[in-house]
Amino acid sequence: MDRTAFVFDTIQQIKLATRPDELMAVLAKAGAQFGFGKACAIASIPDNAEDFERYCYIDCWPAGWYERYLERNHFDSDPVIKKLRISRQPFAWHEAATNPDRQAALVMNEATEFDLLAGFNVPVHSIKGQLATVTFAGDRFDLPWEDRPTLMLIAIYAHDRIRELMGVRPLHPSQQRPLTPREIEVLKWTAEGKTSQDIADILSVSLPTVQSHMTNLCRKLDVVTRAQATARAVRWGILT
Amino acid sequence: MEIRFLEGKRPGTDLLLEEAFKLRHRVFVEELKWEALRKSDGREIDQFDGPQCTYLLAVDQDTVVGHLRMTPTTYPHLLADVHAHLCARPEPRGPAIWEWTRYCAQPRARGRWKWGQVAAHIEIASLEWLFMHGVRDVVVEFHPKFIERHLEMGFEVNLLGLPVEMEGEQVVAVHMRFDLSTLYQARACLGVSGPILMNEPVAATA
Repeated sequence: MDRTAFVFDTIQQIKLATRPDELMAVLAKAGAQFGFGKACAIASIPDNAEDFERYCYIDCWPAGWYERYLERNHFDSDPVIKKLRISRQPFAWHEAATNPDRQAALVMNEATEFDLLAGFNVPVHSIKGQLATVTFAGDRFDLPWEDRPTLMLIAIYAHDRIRELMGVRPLHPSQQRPLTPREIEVLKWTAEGKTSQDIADILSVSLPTVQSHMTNLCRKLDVVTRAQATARAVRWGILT
Repeated sequence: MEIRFLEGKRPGTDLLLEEAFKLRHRVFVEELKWEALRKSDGREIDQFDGPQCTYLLAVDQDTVVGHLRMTPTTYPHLLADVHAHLCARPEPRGPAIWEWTRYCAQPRARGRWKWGQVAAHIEIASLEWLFMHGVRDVVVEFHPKFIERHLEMGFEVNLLGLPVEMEGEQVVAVHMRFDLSTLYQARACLGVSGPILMNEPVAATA
């Protein structure tokens, strides 16, 4: 195989993919080419386990593994997740779990029960500091050192494409008009679950004032509902 | 901090430009240890510097805190003349395709995980200048991690080759295309609130 041609071709297919499943199939094929034939996944890594699934695309995890992972709260003890938070470089699973504590060892052992014996993770840090990762898993690790940057490139393009397919990209012109401090305050209380009347009471302003802030901030964020406004504000780094 | 453009200058003819060469020497030779660039007078100048280049400088209280060199690819430039081995595809060349090289910022002007203000302003000012000069294409050699950042800003990033290890760092050559919406998206991503060079009517047509 001509490695350069394979990578160029794979990235071209990633750019042309029009649906997430199509993209994941291209990614899985590329992973298999580098020895990771079991599974691949693209996932955002939020700060806490509550919204672990903010976005998550998976191709063929062994049946039951993902459910087990969520059910046992592995997110909090997974050594791979811990290493992702501090690493700029891609790494192998055995490099993340070099000296695992009991909880970490448990996660890695359970993974082996599902035939997930080896893996490779590419961290993707957005400019605003949000973290995501592309995972490749297989039954053994034999990715040569010089192929790591290559697989990293494929992962970067795949992550960018899935975000675009899902519409996660910031919409530029609307963001040119930043939210006012008051609008951000209203948004914060909304995220806390307060009604417009609650917020009016808290801020000592009238209900129509709060409603007008809400209308304006929704327009700026290009959304219709409060839930969407909160979600988009988090995604754009306005709310943390 | 303000952004300054120097056009048509030869080394040795402009005080600010001399400051920029000294900054390049401090960053690339003294900090990054690119010994091949070492000069006895502490000014990092190579065969590609000259009046054909446009230099973009970030200046803070008369001190140059950031630098980017922009060269039209119709002239000799780093990718074509020194790093041609980074390209598996033919390198794009033409009057409307420019090369970015020697980006650097003073250590205290850098961001750590996020982009620092100097980097953000240089990136946006450069896009605006190129845009106003009819350029929509740049070639650049950098660490592969910059690919994800430019994709996020809305560039079309095309690989010219696979990453190669040079001086202990991964380097990849890319050809990037952008348009006005890239400029908006890049401003939003980098937190630059408005145009740096462009006048409002141009910016308002998007």
